[in-house]
Amino acid sequence: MTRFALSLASIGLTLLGVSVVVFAILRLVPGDPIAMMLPPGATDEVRANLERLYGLDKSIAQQYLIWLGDVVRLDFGTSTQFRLPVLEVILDRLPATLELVLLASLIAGLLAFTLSILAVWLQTPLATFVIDGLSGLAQAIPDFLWALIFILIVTLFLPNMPISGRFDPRTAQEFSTNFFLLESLVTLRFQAFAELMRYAILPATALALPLAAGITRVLKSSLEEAMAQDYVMLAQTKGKSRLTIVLGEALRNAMVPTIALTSVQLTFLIGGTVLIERQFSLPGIGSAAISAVLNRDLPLIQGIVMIFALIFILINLSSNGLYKLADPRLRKPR
Amino acid sequence: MSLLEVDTLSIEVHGAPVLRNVSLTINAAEIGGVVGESGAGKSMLGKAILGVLPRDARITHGAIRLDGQDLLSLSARHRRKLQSRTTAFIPQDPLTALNPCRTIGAQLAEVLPPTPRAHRLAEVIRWLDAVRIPSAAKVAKSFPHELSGGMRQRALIAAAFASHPRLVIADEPTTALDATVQKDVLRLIRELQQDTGVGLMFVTHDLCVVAKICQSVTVMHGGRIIEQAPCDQIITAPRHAYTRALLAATPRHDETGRGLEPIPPALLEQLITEAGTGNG
Repeated sequence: MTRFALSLASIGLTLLGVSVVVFAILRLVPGDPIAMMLPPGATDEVRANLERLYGLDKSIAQQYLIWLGDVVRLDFGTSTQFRLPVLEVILDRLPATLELVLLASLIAGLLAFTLSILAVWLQTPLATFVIDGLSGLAQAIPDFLWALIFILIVTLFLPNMPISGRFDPRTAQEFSTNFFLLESLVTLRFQAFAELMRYAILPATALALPLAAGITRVLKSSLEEAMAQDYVMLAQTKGKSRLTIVLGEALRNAMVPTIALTSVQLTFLIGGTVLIERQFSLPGIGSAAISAVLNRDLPLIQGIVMIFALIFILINLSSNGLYKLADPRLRKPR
Repeated sequence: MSLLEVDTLSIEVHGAPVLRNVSLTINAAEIGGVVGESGAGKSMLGKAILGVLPRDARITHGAIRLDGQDLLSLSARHRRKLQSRTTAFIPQDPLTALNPCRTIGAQLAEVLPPTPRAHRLAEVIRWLDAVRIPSAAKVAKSFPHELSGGMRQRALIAAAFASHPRLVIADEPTTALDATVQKDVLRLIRELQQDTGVGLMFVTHDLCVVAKICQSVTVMHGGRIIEQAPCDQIITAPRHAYTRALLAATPRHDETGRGLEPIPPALLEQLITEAGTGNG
C-alpha cells in the first residue's frame, strides 16, 4: 500500500515538474496568442479586454497558479482555437490516437516476434541476412517517410484504398464512444471493423515498421545470447527440438531487454503520431497538437503535453511491472 | 556388448582436429573416468556422445554405438528422440545449467517418463527427496536463483537420473562446488549410479576424484588418448610419463607435506611433437 502511495506521489511530482517547465517555456517563446484571435484593425481596447478575459494581463507566476488551481478541479482551460474546454477537445481526440498507437504496437510486435524467432530458429545465413536486411531497411526509413511511400504506392496501384480520415463519412456508423475499432470489435460488428481497418492499416503500419525493426534487433540478439547458455544445451539433451527450445527456454530470458527497449521506443511512437495523423488527416491528439502550436493555442498545448507526459509515465510504470513478470529474479523474495 | 562404444572418433572444428582417433567403452553399471587438462577434448567427447556438438564441430571419422545402435547413422530427429530416453547429462556449472525463468519442478518434470499429470508433482518431489534436497515440495516451486549452488547441482543430478537413462555423462559435476559440497555430491552420484545400474562417464581433470569412484580411466591430452587402464593400475602403476606427471600435480589429502609437481614443459613439448608427427 505504501509502495502504491509512493508511486502515485512520484507521478504527481513528475507531472507538476513537466507543467512548470512547459508553462514557462510557452510564455517565454515569442508569439502572441491574442494577435492570432484579433480581427484586422481591432482597437487597443478590444485587445486589452481579450487579454483580461484570458488572464494574460497577469504575471506568469500568477497565471500558472490560476491554471494549476483549475487543473486540480479537472479544468484545463478553454482552447482559444476551438472555443471549447481543453479537456473536451482532448477526450474527443485521444481515442483515435490511442487506437492508432495500439494497432501500430500490435503490428510491430507481431512482425518483430515472428521475424526474430524465425531467424534464431532457422539459424541459416540466408534467413539471418534477409531478416537483418529487412529490419535495417525498416529502421533506416522514418515513419513519416514510410507514410509517404505507402500513400504513393496506394494512389498508384490501389485507388480504392482510403488514404485519409478514420472512416467513410458517407457510410458512417453509429458509435457511442470514439474508440471506433475497439467498439466495433466488442459489439461484434465485424463488417464495420473491417471497413475501419482499411483506414487504419496504413498509418498504423507506417508507425509500426521502425518500431518493429528496433524490437527485432534487440529480441533477436537476446534470443541468440540465450541460445548460447548452458541450460539450452541441457534442454537439447532432454530431446527438445530447436523450435521448442527457442519458444520454451530462450524467449522468456530474452524478454527483459526487449521490454526495456520497447517501452522507450513506444514513447517515440507516440511522438510519431503527431506527423502521421497530419499526413493521413486523422482527428487525433497529434494533429490537434500541430494546429494548437500553429495557432498559439496555449491552453491546448499545455493540456496535450500533460496528457503525453501522463502516458509516458504510465508506459514506464507498466514496463517496470512487466520486468518482474518476465524474470523471477527481479521479483521480491518470498 | 558394451553399453557405450566410441570407435576411433575424430572431430574437427574449422578444420582443426579437436579429437583424434578416440576409442573407449563403458559398460552398464560401470563408471568410466575421462581425465585430462583443459583443452584435452574430454568435454567435446561428452558432447559428441550426447549429440549436442556445437554447429562448427564436424565428425570426420569414427562411430558412436549405444547398445550396439550406431548413433551417427540415425537422423537428427530420431537420434534426439532415442537419446532423450537413453542418455542424460550432468553439467559442470549448476549456476548456468538451469533456466532462470522456470521453476525447478518444471525443469525436472519434463524429463520424467510419461506420467499422468496428477502424479507428476509427487514424482518430482520423490526425486528431489532422492537427492536429499530438504523441503522438496517447496523447492519444486522455487526458481533456480532461490537455491544454493550445491542444491542446484543436486536438482540437476535428479533431472539426469529421473529420465531412467541407460548412460549418464557427467561433465566435471563437482568442479564449480566448494570442497565439502563436492564430497557429498560425488557420493550422491555414485549411490544413484549403483542403485540404478546405469553406465556413467565421469569427465574430470581431477585424478583424485577418479581414484574414488571409477573402475576404468581414460587419460586424454590434446584430443588424443594417452593411456587407458583399470583405475587402480592408473593410480599405482601409471605407464605413460604424462599420467605420472598428472598424478604428481594432483593434491591428495592423505599425503601431507608432499609437494606438488607442475607438469614438466619438456613432456608437454614431447606430446605436441608426437601429435604433430601423426603418432596418435
